[in-house]
Amino acid sequence: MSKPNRRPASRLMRRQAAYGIAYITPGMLIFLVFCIAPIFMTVFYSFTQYNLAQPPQWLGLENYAKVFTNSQLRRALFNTVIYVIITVPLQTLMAMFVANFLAEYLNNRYGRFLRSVIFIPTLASYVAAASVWEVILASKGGLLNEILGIFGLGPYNWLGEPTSALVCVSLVAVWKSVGYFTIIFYAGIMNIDVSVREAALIDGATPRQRFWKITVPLIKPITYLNVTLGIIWSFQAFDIVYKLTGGGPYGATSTVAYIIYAYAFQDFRIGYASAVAVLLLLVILVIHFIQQRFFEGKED
Amino acid sequence: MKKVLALTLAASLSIGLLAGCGGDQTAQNGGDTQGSGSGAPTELTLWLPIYQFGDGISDEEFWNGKLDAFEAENNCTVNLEILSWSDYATVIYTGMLSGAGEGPDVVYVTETYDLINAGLLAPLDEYITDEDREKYVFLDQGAYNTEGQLCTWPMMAGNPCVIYYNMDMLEAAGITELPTTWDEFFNVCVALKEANPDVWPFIQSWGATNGVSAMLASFWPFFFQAGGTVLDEEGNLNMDSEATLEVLTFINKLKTEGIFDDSIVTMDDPNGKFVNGEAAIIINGTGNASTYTEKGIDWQCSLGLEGSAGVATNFSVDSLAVASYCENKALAADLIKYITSAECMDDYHEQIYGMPSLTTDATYTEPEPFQSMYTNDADKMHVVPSFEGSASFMDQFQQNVQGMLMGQLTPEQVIEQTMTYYNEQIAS
Repeated sequence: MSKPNRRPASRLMRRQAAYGIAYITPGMLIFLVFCIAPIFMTVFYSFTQYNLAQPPQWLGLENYAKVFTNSQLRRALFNTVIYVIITVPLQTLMAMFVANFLAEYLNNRYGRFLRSVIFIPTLASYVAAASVWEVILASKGGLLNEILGIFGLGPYNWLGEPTSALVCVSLVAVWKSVGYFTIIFYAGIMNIDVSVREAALIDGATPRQRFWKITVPLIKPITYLNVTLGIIWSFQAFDIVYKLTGGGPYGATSTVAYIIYAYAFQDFRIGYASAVAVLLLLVILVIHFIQQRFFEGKED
Repeated sequence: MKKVLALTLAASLSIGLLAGCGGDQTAQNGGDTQGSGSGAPTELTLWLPIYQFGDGISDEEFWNGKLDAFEAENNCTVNLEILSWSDYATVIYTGMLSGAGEGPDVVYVTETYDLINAGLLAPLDEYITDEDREKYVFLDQGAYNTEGQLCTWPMMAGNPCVIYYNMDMLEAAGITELPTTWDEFFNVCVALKEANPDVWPFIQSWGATNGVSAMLASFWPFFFQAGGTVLDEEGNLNMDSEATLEVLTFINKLKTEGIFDDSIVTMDDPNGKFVNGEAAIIINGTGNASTYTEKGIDWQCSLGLEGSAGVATNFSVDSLAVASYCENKALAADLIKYITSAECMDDYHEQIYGMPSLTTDATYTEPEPFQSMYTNDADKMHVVPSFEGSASFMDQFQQNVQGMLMGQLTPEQVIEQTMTYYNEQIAS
């Protein structure tokens, strides 16, 4: 078998390649300096004792040995996984259904208004959102308990019981992010070729069939994106926990990101916090790998 | 031509980026070069936190007015920055890492262990005269490094946690005298609960955002009343003690006997409940008294209860410090002395925030009953020292106390689990 004949790159092509490299260099440099380099620095610091002020001192695997025996961290990891299990499916499905409803039945000015309303929580800061929910969920005089009281229910100590506290925090996070994912799904659904939907209509497909047989398969890349982003962001949950429960009661809502913050910026134990961060990165990578295989499997 | 222009732009952006990454070596290495030709620099950066929470003159206006005189007298410039209290310790620490030129030369510090441990604070001993030692009454309450050198100079010493009672509620429950012992206090709480089941007889902040805030008024006053000491004579953490157990047992009793309800472990704002008349008793700093008066609460207070070690409570000592990278430490020390002098602090306490006077020549006095407390009971006020990993320790302690208040841990388990965690995960 003879080697394929490769034509030498023309001068024009070489010049274009040089332009291309020159154009992307600033962006790539920013990406390398602010995204890639910190990852390697974090990995390095995870093997050291480092307080930001003095040079890092090499510790080897000592931080990791401590991390694996850290009961607080184990609990935080468990809470984080539960948080992800609650938030990701819920926000993905809700966003998908709402987007489909808006695209199918409310593709008019009312729909546009509704899209804006749904998106508002996404624009609010986590701190502001948590403050509002703190008032709603307060055990005494809270809005939710007041409403339930009308029906003779409650009062419930929403943020004072371990299980309900974690569920409440998760639901607030879903409320906060569902608008964002709705917009992405909506854009994906609106991108589906009209002729496909029209063909389904002519063939007499019911709305349910159209949703499950046409929309869901065709927006799979969007679903993949939303699930990936949802998992990553949920594993990084911090602000809502910090403001709403402070990780309590009794550590029931502490998350890994919250613990990383406390180690790094309350105690300035950057090395130890880096070891926890590296473990979190590995957990996210493993889950992402499983998720990728799952979606690829569905594709087959 | 367009392509040449685009290439030039891209190249300049890249070079700009690299230059940015290279950093400002001058700033890193010594910062301000003003005056370097004729001696030490004559420009200082001063970082102070906000204390004016009312409608009066702002911190910035006040200090800029005062600093004019210092600048004129010393022929120097003081660049003032007023910071918010949000994540204050973190802001200070990371700010000081920026070094001279960007970080502060003189800074107001609250948590000192990490700053001293990281070598960010300069020893002040060589700038302290015998006259200063006589004049500045809280000087020995500053923080020391491992060589025993003073590294912080107290600026705001006071605000002890006292027990506030809503007298209308107490009288409605038939209580005419304030309790003096833990047992009497408990009985008063029971009587208040029976008289009005809808209000909190006594409220604490075990659901606060962090352990430092939670323990400030909810634990430390009782701890000192029980004779506890945070660190032993060698400087090791001494929380695995009888005093800790005694306090936790008492707090647990308040929960099991129904003085606290289940929401004690949530984020509900205790101070707001006292202000709104939903709680009859609260422990809080003396600085809150004016708010209670403004809200029309008929309050009385006592310094603390009598525990096994007598009456005691905790108070705060926040200080000024000189950064170790400051190039004119003598001028910085002079600035600290000026700020904490009666000339500044008398007006500061009148116009911005009331606190006990720092110097023997001061004229400001705290409103009663607090002035009498400072005069007669100063020996009953204790400082909670800063120690290694104190924030994480207190977070862990708070979480375990929450577990106790939820019936999942005993007081002994709270101590055992917290100390195990501290020794295995926090202490170096």
